[in-house]
Amino acid sequence: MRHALATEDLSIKPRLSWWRGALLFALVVVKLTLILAMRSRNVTEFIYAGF
Amino acid sequence: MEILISPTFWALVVVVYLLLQLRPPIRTTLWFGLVNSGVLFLLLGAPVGLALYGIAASLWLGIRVAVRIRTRSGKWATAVTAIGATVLIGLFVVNKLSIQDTAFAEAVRQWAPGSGVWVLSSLLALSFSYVALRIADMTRMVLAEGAPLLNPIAMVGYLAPFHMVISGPICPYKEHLTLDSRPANWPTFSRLLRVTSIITTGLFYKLVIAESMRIYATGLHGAFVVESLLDAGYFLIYLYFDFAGYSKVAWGIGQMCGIPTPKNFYTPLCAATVTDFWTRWHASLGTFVRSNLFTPMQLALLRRTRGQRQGAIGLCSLIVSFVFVALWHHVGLSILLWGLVMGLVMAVEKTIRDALLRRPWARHKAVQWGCRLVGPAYVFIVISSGMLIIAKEML
Repeated sequence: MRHALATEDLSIKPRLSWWRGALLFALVVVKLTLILAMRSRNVTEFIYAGF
Repeated sequence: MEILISPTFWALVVVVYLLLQLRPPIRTTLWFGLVNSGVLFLLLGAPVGLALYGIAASLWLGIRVAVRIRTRSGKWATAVTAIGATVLIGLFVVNKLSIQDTAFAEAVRQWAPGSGVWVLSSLLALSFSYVALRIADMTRMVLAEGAPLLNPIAMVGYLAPFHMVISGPICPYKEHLTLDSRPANWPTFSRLLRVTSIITTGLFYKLVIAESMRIYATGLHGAFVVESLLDAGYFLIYLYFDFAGYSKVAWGIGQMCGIPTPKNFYTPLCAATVTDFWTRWHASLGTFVRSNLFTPMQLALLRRTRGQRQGAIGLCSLIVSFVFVALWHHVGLSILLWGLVMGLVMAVEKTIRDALLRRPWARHKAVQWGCRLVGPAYVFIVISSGMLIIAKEML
């Protein structure tokens, strides 16, 4: 078997340092902005037009 | 996809998270089963929710009877297990055909006009064919390994967890049972940030990357057409971001609520062999097939032949397992051919690997690095060619 346990538990991971936390938070904000942008018709039509 | 952008769904995720923090003095599997039932009734409607309860109650009764008979007579146990397995396989095939052929649904309505709605809703509940696989894993674990049987309410929490209802993954039954012994899932800032990052990455894969690829290739409401190897390669990348994105979201919700949920994707496009690819792509299905079909079949055949013809038995088990995976996805000739081809490719890879392991030069670092560099390209071409075989029937 490739993985001894099929499910992983994040609770055993160590606490994030402040700068890693800040970086992760910034990435979450960027991803959420792009996800919300995809709901706009202008953006989808821009993609369809070939960027 | 609609469910992932629905505010109702995300509001329900938060409600489930908060309710699971309450930890009343009952087993966590039962508490999750109760909470999950509420969510399923709200998301899927009463007929599907009730049908799931009907399936869980029948299963619970059937398995209890099978356990009782087994303790009295070994022969009866074999007969009951065989009948149970045949009924399950029959239900699964009927169900698969019912999804593919709407004429079947019409026939059911004419055959049983009064109870047609209930028959159809039962089939609809089972048509989440992940439910069928979870049923198989649970039945085997209880009957063959002696695992405890969940009551019908808790069982619905295992068979159809709300966050794994769309496209899996399949959590092994024994890991779902660990829910009862897990410590409290207290929120910390690090944990919440990690979980949010996983969920947003999944949504980003699915709603930004996969959706952009789809819109770019097919227009706003078009469908994919796969006619060349290039199309198949493009579709494979799209499929990865779509399916891995969804699986990440399910994994993140599972982590957030403390419900055992498999990860399902381990960078499959970096795999150096097709065998390795299938342990990284949809890993939970691979784990299911390995523990419920490949290994038991291999062991049974080895016992029958008293350890002889190991190579042939290994190859045979591999091909049968892949044919099962193919038919599970879709009942059709081209997918059957795809399953056979994939099984054969993996069998050939195993033969070559076994032969190379005896050669000292094959362990040289330069050779291994070369394989790691060339391998992903080879895997990409083989898997894309496989897509080409099944595209006309599946898309």
